[in-house]
Amino acid sequence: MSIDMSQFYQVFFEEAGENLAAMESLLLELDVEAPDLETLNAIFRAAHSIKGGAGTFGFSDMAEVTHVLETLLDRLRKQELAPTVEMVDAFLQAGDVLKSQLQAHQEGEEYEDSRVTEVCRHLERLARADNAEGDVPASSAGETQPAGTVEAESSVTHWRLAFEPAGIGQGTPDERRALFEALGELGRIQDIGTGETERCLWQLTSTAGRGAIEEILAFVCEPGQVEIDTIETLEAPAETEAETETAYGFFTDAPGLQGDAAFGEAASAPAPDQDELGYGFFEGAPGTEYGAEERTGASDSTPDQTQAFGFQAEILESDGYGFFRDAPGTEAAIDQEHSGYGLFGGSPGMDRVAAVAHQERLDDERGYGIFNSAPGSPESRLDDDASAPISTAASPAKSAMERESRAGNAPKRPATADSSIRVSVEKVDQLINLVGELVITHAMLADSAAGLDPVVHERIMAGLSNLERNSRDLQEAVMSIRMMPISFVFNRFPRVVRDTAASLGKRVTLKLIGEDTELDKGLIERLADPLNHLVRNSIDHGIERPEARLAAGKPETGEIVLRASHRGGSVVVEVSDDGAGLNREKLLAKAAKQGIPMPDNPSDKDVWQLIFHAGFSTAERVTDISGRGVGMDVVRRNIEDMNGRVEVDSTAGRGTHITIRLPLTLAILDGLSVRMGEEMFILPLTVIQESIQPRAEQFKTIVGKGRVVQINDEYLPLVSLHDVFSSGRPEPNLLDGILVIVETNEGRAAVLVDELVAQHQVVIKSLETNYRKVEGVSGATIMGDGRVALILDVDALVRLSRRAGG
Amino acid sequence: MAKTILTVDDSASIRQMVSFTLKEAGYAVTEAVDGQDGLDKARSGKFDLIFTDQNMPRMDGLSLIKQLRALPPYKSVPILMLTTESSDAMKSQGRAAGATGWLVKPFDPAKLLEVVRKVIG
Repeated sequence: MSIDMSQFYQVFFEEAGENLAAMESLLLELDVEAPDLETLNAIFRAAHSIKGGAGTFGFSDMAEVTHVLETLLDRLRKQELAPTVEMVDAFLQAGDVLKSQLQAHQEGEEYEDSRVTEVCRHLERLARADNAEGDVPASSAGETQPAGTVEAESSVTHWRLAFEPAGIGQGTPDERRALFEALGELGRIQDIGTGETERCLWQLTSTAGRGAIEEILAFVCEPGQVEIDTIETLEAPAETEAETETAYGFFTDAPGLQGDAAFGEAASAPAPDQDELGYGFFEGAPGTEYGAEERTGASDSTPDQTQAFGFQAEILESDGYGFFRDAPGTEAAIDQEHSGYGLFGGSPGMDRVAAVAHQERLDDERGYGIFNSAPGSPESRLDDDASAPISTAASPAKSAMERESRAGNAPKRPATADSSIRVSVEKVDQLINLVGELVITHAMLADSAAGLDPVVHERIMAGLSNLERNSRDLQEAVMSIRMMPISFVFNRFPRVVRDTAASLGKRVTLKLIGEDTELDKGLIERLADPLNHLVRNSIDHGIERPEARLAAGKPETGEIVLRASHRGGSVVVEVSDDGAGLNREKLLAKAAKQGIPMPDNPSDKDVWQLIFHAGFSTAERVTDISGRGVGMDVVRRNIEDMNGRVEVDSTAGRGTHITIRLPLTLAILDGLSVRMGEEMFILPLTVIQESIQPRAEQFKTIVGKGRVVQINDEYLPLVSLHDVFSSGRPEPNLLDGILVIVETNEGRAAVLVDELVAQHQVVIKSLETNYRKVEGVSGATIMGDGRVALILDVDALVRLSRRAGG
Repeated sequence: MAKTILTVDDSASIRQMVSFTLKEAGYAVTEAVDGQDGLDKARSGKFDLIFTDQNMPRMDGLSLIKQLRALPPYKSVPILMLTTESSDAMKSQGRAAGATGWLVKPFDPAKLLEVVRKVIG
């Protein structure tokens, strides 16, 4: 069967992306002075996971980078090396390379850049450095992974020490601990045994020779009571190659075996007497961990043993795999080493495998049947298997459960707290769309029922109100699927701040507040660019250099705060810094130079808004961070495109505060429906400040500004929908209408409508998708009576009105 | 009746690949996202074969194997480690923990099936 691997690519891409992001944020939080082992482990795991997937799915370039990354990380988490800032930088760079590679693969390309080899070389160099050969604390030795793949030094040897503690007067844990620590003086020692007290298995990684070890052991036992073998370590890089066929070591930690010689043969020599397919038989017995009685039993039943070992050990190798054997006569006990996998002889579960192997021998279909015919009947093994605990379950409850799951053919999975599924965004959007239709249908039903007598049609009315409640709940639930915590955007900023500040020679810390605040996934994605720009701007233009800060009596390190919160129906994202603040005079001078009209005595707010003008940059020198003058106007446009708005506040010498207000979602809007002539329009509730009945004396016409409305000493531009949309009908009497005061990016404005109709949630339908873009309108919706109402974009309305009137 | 296989891996892509491959071949497959999840699922189900990754959050593969071996129903169920480390030290740890065998990552679906067929037919 051939499986199309490309079907898993997408999952791998997402997963690798997540792992890269996780790795980065963990790296940024890593305290180099006092590294947290758990963090190092998590970073390692992320790299490791990427490597595994990349290798499996054939992205060998990523596998190579993660391999060198992992090698160094492995040394860190084993505390063989102490992390340095340089390493963290190298890790971050490797992460960047991986991101580029990942992106290239997503686009079906290969990422080729000299950066790849540079980063790898750098990491390799760091991994070779030996700055702190720290001993692994004995307390954690039990859990520590044995080295195996990391040591680059050729002089280091892995020694395996096997002994029966009771036999050498080391029966108590304390006694063993003392010996453990004594041996630890020679290098790195680990307990790699099963934790059983009858038999201990330690691994010592050291430059010391056999003599040094024996010297220490001489304090506690007679020579020979502790078996000392070397363990060959495979070269790590082989693992990353797609072809692992030849990369097998053979595990032969045989008790009583003269380890060096026998192992050497096993590890290096291919099957001596077998063909290309590589079936081979080695002398060499695994199974140090097995209980003594097992071995005894085995040798009893196998009289034709090699006397020297007491029992025979064989390795069957085929096409790179092999079977080790420590108890001949039972296939279960054969260590099998195949190309890329292996089975441990004598291990739990092998009796079942053996049953199959036995059958295979009979069938001999694929040539697995070359086990030595050994004494001991396979049938007896099968009998053993039949009596294995699984079929005779320990407790009645268990067996009942087993029956049940067997009957169901698929075991029931318990609901775990963190279980989740991946669904494509399209599916969710379809769901949201359908719920939108449901909301519209409900509105229509309610509209039709409005004429009914509530007393006569009580049940219909009750049903309708139930329907309303249910569809609102459904809508909320469905919307929440699309909601993501804003941390998805925020999390990139520690890195942005770190890099930007470093490249500018500034010291900046970043504080994130309200990362759990949720908003629509679509908004989150579109928020990233504007925020990125604002943060870089703050570091570049806001935060002063350390000397200047000290001179101004501020702490040397500047601070940028990113804060998100829910306020009413919107999400507010704030970017603030404690830098120099905006310079009013500079801004005004620049405005004059560019010929931007300003009021005689402009308010601070008017002045700050200048930074959003296209081509407006006060930076004296253009840096590659920001300051090309294409920044803030784009930021504002991006945010307006999301139905959001942005405000600036600044105090000279104290810093700048930028507030972005966004709707929770792009799919549903809280709006006020207003009537103008025969048409219905929707005004987003978030922009409405108040509505008033105008008096004649409030209307004025100012040259160059068109018609305005005077409200509390303030002249607001008047927006008449008749003018803007050229309704073609004569404008009704101004005094019959109602003024809705709205907040726009260019200050407040008054929108003249005929009537305020009702407040409701409307489902936003894109005009662009269904018709075309219409200026002054951000979308459309379907009302309860089936009519289409346009959703007004007040910012654009003000611009349009000025054009029409001016 | 289809043989049941539990695959424990924190990597969703590997899990899906293993799961898909085995399902295509007619096995009933259950996925678990880490050692703890694997243990929970093993406890509440019955499996003829278990594959487990080594490096996972919450509980690693070796601990999972040790814990499974302590459960009577899993005393002799084949458990294979999926591991990128094929070093001897790793293998001896696996053996000591009670693993039945190991399969080196990266592997392809054909190799996976070869192993599964070998082990449980």
